[in-house]
Amino acid sequence: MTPSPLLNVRGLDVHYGRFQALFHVAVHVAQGEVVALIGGNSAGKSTLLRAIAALLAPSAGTIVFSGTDLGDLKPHQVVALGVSLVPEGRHVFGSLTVRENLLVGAHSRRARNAIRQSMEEVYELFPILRQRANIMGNELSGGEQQMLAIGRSLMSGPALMMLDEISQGLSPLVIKAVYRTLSAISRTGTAVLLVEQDVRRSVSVADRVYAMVRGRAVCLGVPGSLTEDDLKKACFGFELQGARSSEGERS
Amino acid sequence: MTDLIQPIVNGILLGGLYAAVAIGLSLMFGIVRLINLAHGDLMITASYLSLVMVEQVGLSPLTAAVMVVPMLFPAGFGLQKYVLNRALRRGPEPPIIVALGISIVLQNVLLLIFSPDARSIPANVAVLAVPVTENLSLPVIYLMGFGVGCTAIAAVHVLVRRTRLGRAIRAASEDDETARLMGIDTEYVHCCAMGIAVTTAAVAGVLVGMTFTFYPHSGPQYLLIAFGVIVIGGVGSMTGALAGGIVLGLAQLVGAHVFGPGHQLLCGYLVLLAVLAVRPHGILGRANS
Amino acid sequence: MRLSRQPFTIGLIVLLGAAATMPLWASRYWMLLCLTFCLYLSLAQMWNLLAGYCGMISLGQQSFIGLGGYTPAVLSVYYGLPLWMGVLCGGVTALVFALLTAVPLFRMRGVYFAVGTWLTAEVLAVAFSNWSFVRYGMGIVITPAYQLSLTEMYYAGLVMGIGSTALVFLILRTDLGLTLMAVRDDEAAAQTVGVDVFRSKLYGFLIAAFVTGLTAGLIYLHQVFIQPYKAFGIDWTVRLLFIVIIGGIGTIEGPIVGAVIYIVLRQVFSEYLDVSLLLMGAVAIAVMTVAPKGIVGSLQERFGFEILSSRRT
Repeated sequence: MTPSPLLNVRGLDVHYGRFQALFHVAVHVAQGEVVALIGGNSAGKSTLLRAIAALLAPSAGTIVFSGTDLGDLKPHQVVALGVSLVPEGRHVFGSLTVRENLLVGAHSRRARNAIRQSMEEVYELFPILRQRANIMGNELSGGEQQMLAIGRSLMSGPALMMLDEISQGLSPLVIKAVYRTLSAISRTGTAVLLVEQDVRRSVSVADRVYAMVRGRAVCLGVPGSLTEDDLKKACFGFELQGARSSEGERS
Repeated sequence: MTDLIQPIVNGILLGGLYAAVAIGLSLMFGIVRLINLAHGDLMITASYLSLVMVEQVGLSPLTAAVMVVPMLFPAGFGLQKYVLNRALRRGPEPPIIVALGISIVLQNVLLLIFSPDARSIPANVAVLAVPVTENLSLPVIYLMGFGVGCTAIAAVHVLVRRTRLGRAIRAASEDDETARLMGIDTEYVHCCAMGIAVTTAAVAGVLVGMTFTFYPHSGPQYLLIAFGVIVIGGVGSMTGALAGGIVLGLAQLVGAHVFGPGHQLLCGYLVLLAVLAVRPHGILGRANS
Repeated sequence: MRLSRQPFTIGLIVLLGAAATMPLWASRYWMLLCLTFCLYLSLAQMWNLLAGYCGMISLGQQSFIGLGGYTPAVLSVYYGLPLWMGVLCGGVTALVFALLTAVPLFRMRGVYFAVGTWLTAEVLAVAFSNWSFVRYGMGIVITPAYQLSLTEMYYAGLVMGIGSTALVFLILRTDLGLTLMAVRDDEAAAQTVGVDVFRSKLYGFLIAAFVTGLTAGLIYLHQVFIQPYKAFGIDWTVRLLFIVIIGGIGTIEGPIVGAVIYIVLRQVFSEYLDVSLLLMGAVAIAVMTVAPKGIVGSLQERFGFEILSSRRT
């Protein structure tokens, strides 16, 4: 564990009305690290990402990003600090062109040259987007939309990128291509927090893996040490034995 | 038939002015799905402010317009920031009621200050006309209204299509949450959009004040016209606004010509009701809104 | 926490008894005040039925008010029909008008519905002011109404005020009330479980139109003079909206509390009509941004009691 992680979530509780979705969640991501968050449906994975992005207000706990408490910030301020979320279901702006989508992604930045450079980088990462620059978002295929959603997020120049279910509804070939770019992104020093149903895929690129079960996060450790059985249990929501509780880990 | 040409031409020209009345309302409805029921009253407030500038300060109508129009941007911005955004967070009904409340407050403030008498902004151009043929002449004030209306539409169009703020406005109107995830402060964007909307209303208000007489209670009448323009022309569509304005302008002036001047408003309303009955979300409107 | 019903029942009986015997002991001033209260209460209950329980924010109640006022005026002045008969016909006219406009209006949702109803009323205002039969914008003086005594008017108003409140109370305890609230909360969901949305909304709309029309008939018999731009004016709905919003939208007690506040304000500001409207607009804005549930709704939320529960027990 690095001495001061880039993102440090501690004791996080989130409620939807009376329903508690997250229980004392502790997760951290170091600079340049790829962390996978696995778990079944409604385990709280997306809730955690949304809380970090400040779309949800936690009822207890702290979220610290590179020394700044995100507690009272609004989503746009979190983006400006360098945290970017690629939302589940892509949410490309259908009535905007590909180029405009990318420019919207850079909304928090003012320097025109830096924006232009980021756009070049995105186009290099996803050459298809350059070809389709002036096409409306809703005319893209699912895979292209996913590339656009990732590219759009990159435009804000994030130090931490969070991706929610990026392989959903995509063909295996496209998924493979998308994951290849993930590795490229992490090589540039951007930390990645990845939420996936496709466990094997996400674990294969991760430096570290957390499992979420019924609103609680458990650190499973490094992928190499994980057996197929561990992963299955994590996904189907069984109690995990031998894994360290994330609560005990830091106290 | 030949005597119909004049009302038809006037109706088309009036349509440009009506489009200018409507674009701000259309812009806001496209973004927050809210018909700002105080739109007409904000417009009439601008008419009264210009009247004060002309009558009390002694400025020319044009100078008055240049003074008044920018004053209303912060008014719209603040209204959105401190009142409407708060109501919007509480669900779909509160903003309707709050906007109506603003309308009532504005009307009665104007009534207290200016009395219920009919007023108009004195302008020399109001009586000028360009003769074309012996049956047809173009009133200069209507030409101005049409020209300014088209200019305002073009300006808003460019702003929405070509600028960073416009991009943010479109993103926020399509998907508010994702826009926030992209680093857009959507509530701030709403405030800016409202500022722009009220600014366009002010432009329209100055023109209306020079073209017609107005009262403290004239606002709702123009709100209904603007609503009609949106319904006919489609939400958020700037060219649609011009088309809608022309349809309503024609309905009113041709109707007044055929049935008598008392029926001018009635004919416009009936056309609008017919459109609403057939296409409850407008002719060019999106069905899902 | 639920209050014991007994003191409430005794209080209600005392209050009703006092109201019923009011002509025997009260001054003209207090009777007039109580009459105005009852008439506004009736109108407000009907707007609340639409906006608070059916989720239809109507800005066009003045359509029914104008029709309900003009019908007895025309029938009694032109055709010598008895006044009460005219009032009943006014209710029916409003009902028929509601029936005719329901199909196009119900195709509109939310703010479209709001503006659509308003527009309908504006059309009536302009049409009546261009119609020679009703003497254009000059209006009609309902001369036969001069014969009515205050006691007669008072009892008619009392029946409307209590009747409309009881009506809403009863509707909410029937299946219609349940379906209306289901439609208000989630129209699509209500539809999928087999609720006939259109029919439920139509019943609510028709009831509101009929009672509003009847009440308006009484109001104009009392005022003796009717004019299109006043009768079909949006000011009516603004007042109702103020009453319901400040009292608490979607509660039966809300309009009662709101109507009391309205009457008090009206008396205090009776010499400054513009100021009172201005104040109403400002209060509506403040309530909606600070405590959108109104006085009654906020109290219920805080203390968890309901006097006139819409729940079937």
